Order: sequence, then C-alpha cells, then structure tokens
Amino acid sequence: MKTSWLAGIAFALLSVSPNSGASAADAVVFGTVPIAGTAAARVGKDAGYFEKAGIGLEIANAVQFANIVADIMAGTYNFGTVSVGTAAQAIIEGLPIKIVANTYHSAGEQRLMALSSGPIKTIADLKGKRIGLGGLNNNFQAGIIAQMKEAGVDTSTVTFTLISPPDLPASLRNGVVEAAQINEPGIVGAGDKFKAVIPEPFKPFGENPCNNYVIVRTNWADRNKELVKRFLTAYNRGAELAATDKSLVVKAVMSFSEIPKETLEKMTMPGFGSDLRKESFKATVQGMYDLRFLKRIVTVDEAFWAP
Amino acid sequence: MGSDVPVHGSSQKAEAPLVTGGTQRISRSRAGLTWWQRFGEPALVVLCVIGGWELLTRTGVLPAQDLPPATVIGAAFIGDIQQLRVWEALGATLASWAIGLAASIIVGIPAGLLLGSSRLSYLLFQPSLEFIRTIPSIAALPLLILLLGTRGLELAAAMTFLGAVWPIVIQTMYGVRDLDPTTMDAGRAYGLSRLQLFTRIVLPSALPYIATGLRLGAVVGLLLSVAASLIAGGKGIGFLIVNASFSGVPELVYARIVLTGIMGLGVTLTLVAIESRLLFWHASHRRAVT
Amino acid sequence: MTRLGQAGIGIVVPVVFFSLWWVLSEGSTSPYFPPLRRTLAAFLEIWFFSRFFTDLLPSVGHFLSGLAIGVVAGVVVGTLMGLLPRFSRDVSPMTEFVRAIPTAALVPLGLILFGTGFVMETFLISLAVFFPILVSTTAGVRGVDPVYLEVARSYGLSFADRLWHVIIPAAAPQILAGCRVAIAFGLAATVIANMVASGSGLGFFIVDAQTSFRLPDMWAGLIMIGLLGYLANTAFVLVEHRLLGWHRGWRGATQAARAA
Repeated sequence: MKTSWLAGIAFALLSVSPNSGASAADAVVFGTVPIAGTAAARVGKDAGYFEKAGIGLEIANAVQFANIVADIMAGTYNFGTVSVGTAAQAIIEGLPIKIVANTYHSAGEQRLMALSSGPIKTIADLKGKRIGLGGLNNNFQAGIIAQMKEAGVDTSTVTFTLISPPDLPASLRNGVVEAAQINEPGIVGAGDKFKAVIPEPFKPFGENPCNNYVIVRTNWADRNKELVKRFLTAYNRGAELAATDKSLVVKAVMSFSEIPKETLEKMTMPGFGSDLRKESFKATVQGMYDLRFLKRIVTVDEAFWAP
Repeated sequence: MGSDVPVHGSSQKAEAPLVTGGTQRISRSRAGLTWWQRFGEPALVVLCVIGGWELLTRTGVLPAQDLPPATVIGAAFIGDIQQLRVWEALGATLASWAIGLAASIIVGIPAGLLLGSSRLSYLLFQPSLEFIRTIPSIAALPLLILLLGTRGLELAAAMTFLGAVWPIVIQTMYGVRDLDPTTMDAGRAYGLSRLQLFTRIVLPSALPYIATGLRLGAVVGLLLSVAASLIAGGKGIGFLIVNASFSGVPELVYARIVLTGIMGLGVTLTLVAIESRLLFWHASHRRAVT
Repeated sequence: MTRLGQAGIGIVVPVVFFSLWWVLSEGSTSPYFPPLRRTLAAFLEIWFFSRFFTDLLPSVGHFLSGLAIGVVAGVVVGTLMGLLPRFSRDVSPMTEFVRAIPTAALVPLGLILFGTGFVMETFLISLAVFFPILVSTTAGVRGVDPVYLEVARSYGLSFADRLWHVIIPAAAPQILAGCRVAIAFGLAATVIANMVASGSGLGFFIVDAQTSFRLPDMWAGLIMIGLLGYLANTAFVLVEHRLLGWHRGWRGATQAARAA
C-alpha cells in the first residue's frame, strides 16, 4: 500500500507541474477492462514503444467503463478506455474529458445471435422476442434497432433485457432470452450452437465504426501536452502493430486474460488502428440521438482533443 | 447451568460461533466429542453436496457448459492456486480488509463508548446511525470510486471500513448501555474513581458486545472487500473472478468463488478461536455455547 | 422522557446533517456532487411518480418477498441448528462457506438457475436475508435458559408446544435482532440483483443513472434506498415493541436485544 501512495504522490506531482519531458520515465496509468479489444496498449508496451518514448506505462484493471471515467476524473488514471456511448454521455453531462485515440473498432467480434436450432432465422423473426444485451441505450442497441426497423420489425414488440456480457451466452443457451448480444470469446465458445441473426450490428454507422476510445481529462491533457503526444505516438504505433500481427495480440491478451490459447487463435479479434474514425463517431452519435439514447448531439470538435 | 441465570446472558450473544459445535444442555465438554463428530461427519456432508453437484451437472439437469461439474471445477482450482497472481490478489483483498477493519476499530470503539455513555448522546445519534447503517455500502461505491480511484487498496479498505464500523459502533454502544447497575453501585461503594470504574467495570462488561461487534464487522468487511474488487476492479480476488468471467471460463470463475468462500471460512474460524480464547472468563462463554 | 420527546431528539442530527449538506453543496460545480436542491428536485420528480411503478414498486415487492422467505427459512433452519448440535456441526461448514461469498458473485448462478426476473431476484435476496437470521436464531435458541425447558418438560408439554410456546418466544429478541441486520443485507441484495441482470428496478435505476452520468438521479436513488431501509427498520422496531414488551430480558436497560 505504501508503494501505491508513493506512486500516487509521484504522479500527482507530475500532473500538476508542467512536464519538461526530460525526466527518466514518466509514470502514466492507463485504465482498461481486460477484454481483447484493449490489447493495443499491451502490444505497444511489449514492443517497448512506451519505454522508448520515456514513459513508464502501468495498465490498471477496471471492470466497467463508467467507473473508468470516475477514475479519470479522480486522477488515478491518466488515460482510460471507454465505449463511444459512455464518452458521449460524459461529455453531454459536462464532464471534462476528450477523446485522444482509437481503442478498437468493430470487426465482427460482437454479433446478435440466436440458437441455431431455434425458430429465429432472420431479422424479421425477432418480432415479439426477448433480446439480451450487455448494455442498454448504447451503440449496439441503436445499431440493431436501426437494422430491425429496416427489416420491417416493430421494435415496440421486442423486450430488451440487460444481462452482464459474460452471462449472455449462458442466458441464450438456457432459454432466458431468445436472442442475445454475444461477444468474443463467447462466439467461439458456442461453436455451431449459435447462429448470427445480425452479424454486423454496427453497420448503420459505417464501415467498421470505432466502438471504444481512449480518453483523457481535458485540463490534465492541456497541461501535459507533450507527454500526451508522446504517449499517443507510442500508443498508435502499438495499435498499428496489433493490426498487422495477430500473434502479438494473442500473446498480449494471454498476459492479462484467462482465455485459452486455442480459443484466442480461433477468435475474431476487434480491429486495431490509429485512425480516429471521426465519421463513424458522428454517425454513431446521430444514430443514438435519433433513438433518444443521447440527450443531444455531440460534435466532433467537442469530443476530440486538439493539442 | 441452572444456577447461572443471567438476565443479559441470552441476549448478549447475538451471534454465537457455530462452527465449533459443542452441546450445551447435555453437559459434554468439547473434549468429549470424537474426531468423527467434529470433523468426519461434517466432511461427509460436504462430500455429499459436491457429489450431488457432480451428479446434477453430469446428467444434464444443470447445464454443464455453464455450471461445470465439481470435478472440472476442482481441476481448475488446483491449477489456479499454483498461480502467483491468485495469491497476490488474495493478499490484496486481505490487506485492504485488515486496513479497513483496523480503521473501523480505531474509530468505532471509541465512538461507541462515547455515544453509549450518555443517555443524551445515545438518543441523539442512535436513530441516525440506524438509518445510515441500512444503506447498503455497495451504494456508496460509485462515490468512493470518484474519491479514491480503483487502482490501489484504498477503495476496498474504505468499503470494508463502511461495512465494519456500524456493527462495531452499535454493539459497543449497547455494551456500554447494558451495564448491570448493581455492579456499578458496588464499584462506587468501594470508592473507585471514574477512570477505575470505566476500566474495571464498564469496559470488561462491554467486552463481549464489542467482541460480537468485531466479529460481525470483520465478516461483513471481508465480504465488502471482495465485492469492491468484483464490481470496481483493482487488485483483489474479486477482480480475478470477473476476469475469468470475461474470459468465458466458468470452471475458473467457480474455482475462484470457492477460493473466496474458503478464505472467508478461514477468517471466521480464526476469529471465533481468538474470541473464545480472549473471553473464556465471561459468563456467556462459560456456558459452553461455544 | 416521553417517546415523542425521544423521537424529537432523534430528528436533530438528520436535520442538522441535511441542512449542512444543502448549504455546502449549493454552489457546487462538481458533476459528482450536485447541489442538494437539484437532487431533491430529481427525487420528487422520479419517485412521485414517473418511476414509481416501473422501478420502485417491483423492487419493493422483490425485497419484501425475499425478506419473508429468508426469515421463514432462516428461523426454521436456525431452530434446527440450535436444537440439534449434531445438525449444526454437520451443516455449519457449508453455511459458513456460502455465507462468505458476496451476493454479486452469485448473480450468474442465479441467472442460470432462474433466468431474469422475479424468481431470480427474490432468490438472491432471500439468500442474503437467510444467513443473519440463521445465525441469530441459532444463537437465540441455544441461549434459551434450560430451566424453562425443564419446567416445560416437567409440566408434560408436547414438543410442539415447547417449541412454539417456550423456545421461540425465548429466542425472539435474538431473532428480531437478526432481522434488523437482515434488512440491511436484503436491501443490498435488492440493489445488486438489479445491477447486472434486469431492465428495471431500484438497483438498475441507480446503476443506469451512474453510467449515464445523471448524477442527481443517482443521488435521488441512493436517498430512496436509505429511506426504504429506514422505513423497514422503523416497522421492525414497532413490531419488536409489540411482540417483546413482555420479555423480561428485553425491557429496561437491556437494549441488548438489538445486539445486532
């Protein structure tokens, strides 16, 4: 505990004083959830990019994206990964955060699925059914509602139930819901028992829209511009590396997750890259706003950090 | 047994240690129980439960892919306890628990003694304390995350404190209030000073209550320490349970839950043992309720 | 001092506290600590009545059902454990083990066994309520003065009569004390069960407000939980007074009955 106090004091001092960039290694805390989508930072760290940039990166464990925002506000995290909806809502409620990087973008690792042996074969069959979702009023729900409406399904007949993402495969298997959002590794884990009803839930928002962003607290970032830029350089290099080399992603995920190696190799990985995909951000926000999942539109200028 | 009819006796121990068994009405001392009675039979019960689980999952009554059979969980358990990070996580949970508990003792006992000592302060604060104590500590979690962050041990320690301080304060208060007036009068008649009255009569009399409060507080505190890392992340065993869950490996999830249960069991047993050793002199313990 | 006078004194601290909160938070710009004024406005708007039927009533329903089931089960098993030392020895390891597992960790299990909805939530709540009642009932039954039992036996009372008219009443202070603890645990379980597998309910509302950063709503939810707990507690105190006024070990200086 004493060490964490010292570390806390250390980077509290760092975050208050202007950063000269000449110190040996700047301690930076990156808070994230242990899912495959957040592997880019780990890949970059393993490749030594952060070290070379003079940054001592600590990757901290979180469980929920909303709590990551709290940690960013409290200053215990310098950077954190949050879903696009969470980022938008925080900004709408006036929390001083901004987006700096792409955590991951969709590449088929999240799907709306149903039992292969069940009665639901097409989107139209979803009418009147119970759908299990890992989060409510978010981009996933907005995406599938848009596609359901397009297929002529009256969405008022559908019941959306909130179920914690790891429990969704079990809920679908045991008939708690008739269709569910299944994220990897649940897709691999189900084998051929599940069939995708909506294989690309985020299609309405563009080609492989960005689902999750790295955020910072705005005033901290403005005071430490140089550190943030160095971090982003290293981070984006790691993201590009992750995009090209799946084996490194597998290795990174294995270091923080319990997913067995064989599953990881079969899994559909999210997409990594340094492209902020602002167009997809706009489209996602618009789609969520149209369903009143967001109170208002969040503009790109409001949301993205400009050094 | 009949000669000792304490008016306070039955109500002092709101919670009696269960696990060490022992009878009361038939005056058999603890030494009179055979090994089988103390360990063998309970172990058999545990084995039956495990066997039942195995049967239900293997025959498909319970979905085996989501509720793995006991043997599968057992294998995962054995593999898991060889991992360093599991022990580090247990250590983090126990450390934050210890810190939170220590804080709640340091704050709670003096506060309880103070608040219980005068009728006025008792009346002033008791309703508010009872009100706050009903608010689930889990509800404070979002606020605590903002104030303390999830990175270190502080969050789990604060949760432990919030959970443990109430039983300690309230039990201490009752302990001070529940003084046998005769003993106090006798003390005064002997000319004891106020300080002596306090240390020699009030405190020892309140000790069983305080002990109960400590035990309740410790148990609740440990639960909350685990729950803190379960819901908010950080370094504790709760986070490892969530991690296994995110990884889609249910046997590991249950293996770690079993580990948490065993840890809790161990802590309870230790506390019970300490308590009976420290309070062997008190009437309530002499009645072999232990 | 009259009861009214006592109640009057008890109000002082909350009034002072709320006044302080109001004054100190009035100029607050922190998003996480909105002015009490806004929170109270949200409180009134939400619970009277926009969310009353969709979230509050179902949660209260789950809570009361879980409480009822847990209390009955706890008293039954606790009495058994108190009367039969062998049963207690054999079963304690299992009960102490399950007791040490946080409710939140048991939610997935409940989900698989019961799906989402009333049964699952009530199951988790009754489980949370069961353990404190079990422990205090066992202690209460064990602590029954053997003199009473011998007298009852020598009067030729049947076992059922002994149980109902001697043992349970003698253990009643302990049991009721355990009920007070159980209320707190049950309320916590109500919130937790809602948090991760639901679409409505008090716990869901609070977590939803928190994750959408509607902080006044979150605070309004927290206050509501506190209020529910307080009401439940007060109801229990009234029941206690009615049921236990006669109990020798309970009246007077011994508020030891509330020893939990």
